[in-house]
Amino acid sequence: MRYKANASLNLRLEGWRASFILVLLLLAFVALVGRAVFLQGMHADFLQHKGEERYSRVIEKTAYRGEVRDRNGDPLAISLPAVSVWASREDAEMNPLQLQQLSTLLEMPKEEINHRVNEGRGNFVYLKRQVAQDVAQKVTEIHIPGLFEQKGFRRSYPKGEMMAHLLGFTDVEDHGQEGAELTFQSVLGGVNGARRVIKDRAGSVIEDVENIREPRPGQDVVLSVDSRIQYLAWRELHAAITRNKAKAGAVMVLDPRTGEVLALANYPDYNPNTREHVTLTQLRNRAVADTYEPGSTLKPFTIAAALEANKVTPGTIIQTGNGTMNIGPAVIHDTHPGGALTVSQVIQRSSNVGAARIALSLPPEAMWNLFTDVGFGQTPKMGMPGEAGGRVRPYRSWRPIEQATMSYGHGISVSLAQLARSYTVFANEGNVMSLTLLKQEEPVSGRRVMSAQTAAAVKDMLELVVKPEGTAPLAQVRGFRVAGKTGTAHKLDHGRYSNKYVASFVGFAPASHPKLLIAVMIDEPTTGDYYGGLVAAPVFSSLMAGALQVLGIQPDDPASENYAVPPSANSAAEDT
Amino acid sequence: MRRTDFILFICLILCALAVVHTQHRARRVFVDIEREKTIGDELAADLRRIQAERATLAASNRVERVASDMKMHLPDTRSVIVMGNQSQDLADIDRASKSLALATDVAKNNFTVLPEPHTEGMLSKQLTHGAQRGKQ
Repeated sequence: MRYKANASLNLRLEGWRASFILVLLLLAFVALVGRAVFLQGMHADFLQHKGEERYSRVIEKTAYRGEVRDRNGDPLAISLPAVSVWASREDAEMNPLQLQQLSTLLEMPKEEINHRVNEGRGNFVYLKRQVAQDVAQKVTEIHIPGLFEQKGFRRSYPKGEMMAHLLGFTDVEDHGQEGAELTFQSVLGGVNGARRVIKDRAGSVIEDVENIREPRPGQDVVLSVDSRIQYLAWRELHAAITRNKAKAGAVMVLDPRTGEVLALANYPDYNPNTREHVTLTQLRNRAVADTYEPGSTLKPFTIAAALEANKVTPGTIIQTGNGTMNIGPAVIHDTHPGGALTVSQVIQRSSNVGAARIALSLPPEAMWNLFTDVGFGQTPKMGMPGEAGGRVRPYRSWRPIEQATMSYGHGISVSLAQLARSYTVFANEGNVMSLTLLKQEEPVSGRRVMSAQTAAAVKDMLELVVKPEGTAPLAQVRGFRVAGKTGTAHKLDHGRYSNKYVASFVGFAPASHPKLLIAVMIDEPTTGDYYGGLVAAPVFSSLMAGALQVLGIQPDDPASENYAVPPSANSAAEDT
Repeated sequence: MRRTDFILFICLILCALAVVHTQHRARRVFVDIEREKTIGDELAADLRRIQAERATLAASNRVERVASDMKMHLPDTRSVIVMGNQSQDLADIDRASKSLALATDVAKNNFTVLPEPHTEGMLSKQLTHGAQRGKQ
C-alpha cells in the first residue's frame, strides 16, 4: 500500500478549530491585560494602601515638655515618662487575686476598678493615668487580659508645696493649668512628631519610609526665682501663720534693681505632686490674685507726693494735736497721740492724722497720679494667671474724707505684688520697675516716677521705722541698714470695718544699696497681736537675714550691734 | 560577542546578589540603630528621673532637716567676720591665729584663762574666705 493511499492520512482538522483556540487564547490574554490595567492603573492607589496597611505603621515620636529651672539652674518642674493603664471593657477579665493585686498597685479601691470596668458605655476606659514606670511594669506582670498600657508623661515638682503657687501644674494631657506652667505654656509645650515605618512580622521597625513631622520638644524656661530664698520665704511664712494662728498669708521677694521675682509664697498651699483633694482655697495665689486695703504701707506715697509738690520737707512740723481729726462727720484716730511731729516722724510712728493733714494740703490729682504711676489700679502684668489690678477710684470723685483715708491706705485696694512693686521706687532712686518671672540677663531700666531726692528722703524716713521709736524694730537685721513700712488694716466685713486685720510689712535692705525687697502680708492673725510691726515685721527680718546670707551680701552697717530693742507692743501700735 | 554577553550576564547576577545582600545588611543595621535609639531614649528618661530625684533630695527643706538631725546650724551672726579690706583681712587672720595660738598655749599650760568663744570658727571661716579670694 502506498503511503498516499492511506485515506486516514488525508484526514484534516477543520481550519476553524485552530482559529478558535487561537482566538480563545488571545481573548484570555486580553482579559489578563485588561485585569492588569484595571488593577495597576485604575485601582492602584487602593491596593497600594491596602498593601501598606499590612506592613507600614505611623508611629509617634514623643516630645518632652520643657523643664522649668530656677535662676541657678535647679530643676523645679521636670517631665518624667509615665504610663496610663487602660482597659478594654469587652476583653477585661480578672480573678479576685488579680483584682486585689491591681488595687494595691494602682492605689485604687477594688470597687472603683470594678465600677470603671463594668459600668459605662464604650469599650475603652482609663483605669489610672500617669502611673510611674516601675509600678506599670508590675501591673504588666500580673498578666490581666484586656488591660493595656499607654506611654505618656508625668510632671514632677521636686520642690513640692514650697513652689506650688509659683509653678502651678499641668493636667493629664501635659497642658499648663496654673502658675508659670500656664503662663509659659507656649514655650514649654512640646509637639509630638510622627513617622511612617515598615514593621516586620515580629513588630520591630525595619525601615523608615517617611518623616511626617519632626517632634518639637518644649523649650526650658529659666525663672527669676531663687529656690533657696523661696524656701526661706515659705518656711518663714509657715512659721508666722502658725505663730499667729492666721487664716492666710503671702510673701514676695523681689530684686528691686531688676523687678525679678525671687520668691513668692502663699498660705494655704498644696503639694502639686499629689493634688487629688486640693481645694480652691489652697489653689489661690493670694499674692497676685487677692487685693486688700493696704493700710499704712501706702503712707510713704502720700508723703512722696507732698515732697514732690514741695508742700513739705522731711523736717516740716505737722500738728497732730491729741491724735484725732474731724473731717465732716468722720473722725480719724492715731494710736499714739503725738502732738507736733515732723514729716519723718509721721512715717516713723505711722500717724494717720499726720498723713491725712499732709494729704489734704495736696490736690487729689497729685496723689492719684503718683498712685497710678507706681502701679496701683493696674494689673502688674508680671505673667501670673489671674493677676488682680486693685482699685483706685478716679480723683475727680474724691471727697476730702476719702482723700484723707486714702493717704493711709484705706478706700483703695492693692495686691501684695503691686505693693511690692511700688516700693521699688524708694529702693531704686525714684524708678519703678516692672515685675518679671523670668531671669534677666541684661540690666533693666525702670520708669522714673519721682525725683531721686524725694525717693532718698522717703527711704531715710523708712529707715526710721525700724529704729526703737518706730513701729517695726522687729524688722531689724543685724549688720544691715533696713528700710520699710508696717501696715495694719482693718478688714471690710459686709461693707463695715470689722475687728479682723491684715498685718503687712514692706521693706528692703541693705538700705545703702538695696538688693532685696520683701513684702509680707498676714491675713487675720488671731492670737491677739495684729500689728504689722509685731506680726509681719519678724517674718521680714528673719527672711531678709537668711536671704542676704544666701546671696552673700556684705553688711552695710557691720559695726552696729543692732539696737536689739525689746519688742514692745506699744511702739508697734498703729491703727492702719 | 557571545563571550561579552556571558560576562555581562555574570555581572548582572553578581549585582543582583549584591543588592539583596546590601538591602539585608541595611535592614539589620537599621534595626541596630533603632535599638540603640530606644536605649538612648530610656537613658535620657533615666537621666530625667535621676535629676528629679536629686532635686528632691537637695530641696532646701530636706537639707535643713538632715542638717538639724546632724546637729548643724547656721553660724551666729556674731561669729561671722566679714572680709572687706584686704590688709584688714590679713590683720584679722593674724589676730585670729594669734588668739588661737594663745588658746592652744593656754590649753597646754592648763591655765585657767579660757579662750574667746568662736575663735576657731572665725579662723576657719577666714581661711576659707582667704582661699576663695586667692582663687579669684
